[in-house]
Amino acid sequence: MSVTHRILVPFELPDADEVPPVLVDTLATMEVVLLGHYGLPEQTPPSVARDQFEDDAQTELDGIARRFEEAGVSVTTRLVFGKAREKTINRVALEEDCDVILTPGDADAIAEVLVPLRGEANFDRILSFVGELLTATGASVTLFHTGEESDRLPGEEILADATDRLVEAGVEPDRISRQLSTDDDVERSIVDLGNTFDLLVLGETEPSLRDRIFGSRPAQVTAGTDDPAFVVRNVEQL
Amino acid sequence: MKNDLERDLGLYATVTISMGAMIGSGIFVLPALGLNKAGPAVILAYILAGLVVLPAALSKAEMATAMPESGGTYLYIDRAMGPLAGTVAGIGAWFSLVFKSSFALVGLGAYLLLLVPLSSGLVKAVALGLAALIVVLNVVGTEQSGKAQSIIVTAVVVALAAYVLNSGVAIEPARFQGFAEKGTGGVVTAAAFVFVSYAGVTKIASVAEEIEDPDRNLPLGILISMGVMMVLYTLVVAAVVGLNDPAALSTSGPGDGPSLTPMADGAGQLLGGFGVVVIAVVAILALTSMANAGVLASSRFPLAMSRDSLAPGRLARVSERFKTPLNAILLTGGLLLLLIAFVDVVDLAKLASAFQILVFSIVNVALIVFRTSDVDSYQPSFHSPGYPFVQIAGVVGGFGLLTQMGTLPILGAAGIIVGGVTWYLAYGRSRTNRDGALGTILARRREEEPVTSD
Repeated sequence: MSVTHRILVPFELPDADEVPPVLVDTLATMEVVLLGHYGLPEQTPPSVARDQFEDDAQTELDGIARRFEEAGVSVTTRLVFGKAREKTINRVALEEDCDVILTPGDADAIAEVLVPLRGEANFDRILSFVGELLTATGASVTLFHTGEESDRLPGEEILADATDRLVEAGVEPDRISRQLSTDDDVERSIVDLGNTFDLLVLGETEPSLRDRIFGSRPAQVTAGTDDPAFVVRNVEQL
Repeated sequence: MKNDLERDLGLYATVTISMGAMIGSGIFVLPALGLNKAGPAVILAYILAGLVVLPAALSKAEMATAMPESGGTYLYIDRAMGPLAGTVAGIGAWFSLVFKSSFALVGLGAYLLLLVPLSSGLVKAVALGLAALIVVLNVVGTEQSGKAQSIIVTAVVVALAAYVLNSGVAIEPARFQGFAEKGTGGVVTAAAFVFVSYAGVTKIASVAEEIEDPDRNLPLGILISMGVMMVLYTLVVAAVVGLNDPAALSTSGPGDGPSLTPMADGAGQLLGGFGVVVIAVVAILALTSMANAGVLASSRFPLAMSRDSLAPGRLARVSERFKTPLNAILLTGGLLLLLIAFVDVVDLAKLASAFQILVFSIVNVALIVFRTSDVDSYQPSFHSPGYPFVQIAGVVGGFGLLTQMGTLPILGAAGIIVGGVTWYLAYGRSRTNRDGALGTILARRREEEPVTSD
């Protein structure tokens, strides 16, 4: 697989939450962009806060970067002072060509990875990323199809196809399991399942009208779980 | 460092932001005060005021596209005409906004008292409490909430439209008699008085960098939002005039002064107690939002001046704990409380307008200075149409209004100028050595002189 992945890891500065060391290790073979977002209330012009807090924030961000570099990860850092956190994350992901965004969470060990799949969007990129992740960790993976009618292919076929891709990428077949769901409430079942896994890999969905009102599916799922989640962006669509 | 803002505000969002900043005391509190000056012709006063504000809005929009930094009016004038004019404009703009916010808060108090059975003599006490609350809110820091803003704007516009439509059946044409009674002088005075109703349009300039296709959406956003507001003001004020007994409007306020809740008085005529409650709630929403935005925006002036060495450095400190510019907010909040406590309501409105007219006139001059100086750093992406005639009309119109306002506002405006100059001489002059685009023009004159004198 020739696709290289760049992972955006956002931090809320100051006093950022620590990323679990086991999670850092999973990124060893990839390029990482560490985004320090210094959140400000609307009362404070970003330029003023930058003048005053830039040195401290950069020191903190460099400290975080050092932990990644020690694990062998290639790191770029970006420091942004501002108000709109989500907007900043998306903008920096675009500018830095990151195709995956990490939503940090708690993890003691990465042994079980859950990958909910849909048929169409983003299929290749998600599996390429999962393949790389699995070669770095030795964890096992559960491919999960959410049984949506909108898919062109039946769920079994999608999961079989996905398994083939991972095997091609060098993942032993006995580390891959499949699960087909007929449940309608996709977010709920992913969140429930997520509790028995350590890590989630999700594809970014195209925002529907519903998403614009209630928030995108990855946002809902990641809000419902404490597990770290990688959200694979829909780069081809952009 | 890549940290440009994303351009993601379309025309609709631009218009809503501008209208959100305008809707407030201008419509909910001022009509009765204006009626006192101009009689039923107060309707014309709103149109005249809008026409005089327009040039400054266009000038400010042009400069905003050339200077991306936040700092607004103060920054443009400082960079155009140097730190002396910058100091005067910064203090003037700061005072104007704080006066406007305190006036909004007194109006807010008056509307609140319609809902709770307390003596109307408590208006100032209620306003002080609300002011303290808003200052605390700004110290602690608030999240940006564009959604809340557009919901309030929509709710207010719908409520106002319903108000105007309903009033069609209840208006007494007789109340428009004596329309021209108070003459042109009365209209001009009232226009100066309600000038501040349109000041919010320049909010567009402060988000200019986020507007997509600014060459089109900036001027259109300004023109549409001002056009809509001119129509809305005219209709609502006509409804207020038509619905109420003029004698009651001009004496039912605190201390037998003009009513501070003219909209609710009208609603009472229309729908009884229920109408009063609805209008009071809408007014409270709009006025709270205006007062909050006013404290937030006005605290930016001491902050920006401090960063340019025109005020003590402490004013630009951001609190480690709250991540807000604590000192600038406290200074602004302190002035706000003092004004509410010790200045008469009508004078608050007068002075807010007077300072605003002064600052807007200087804004128009600043644009002329930038265009004339032709400095390389001035590269606006939007060019104000009708230059320089529009700007000259703005300055002349502004001073025309100012002279019609009576002694106190003129003294106030003069006081700001004298105070600004004094502060600059005492504090700023020894700490700054920039001279703005005006300096470039003067320097060029001096170079050319020997050549032309031969």
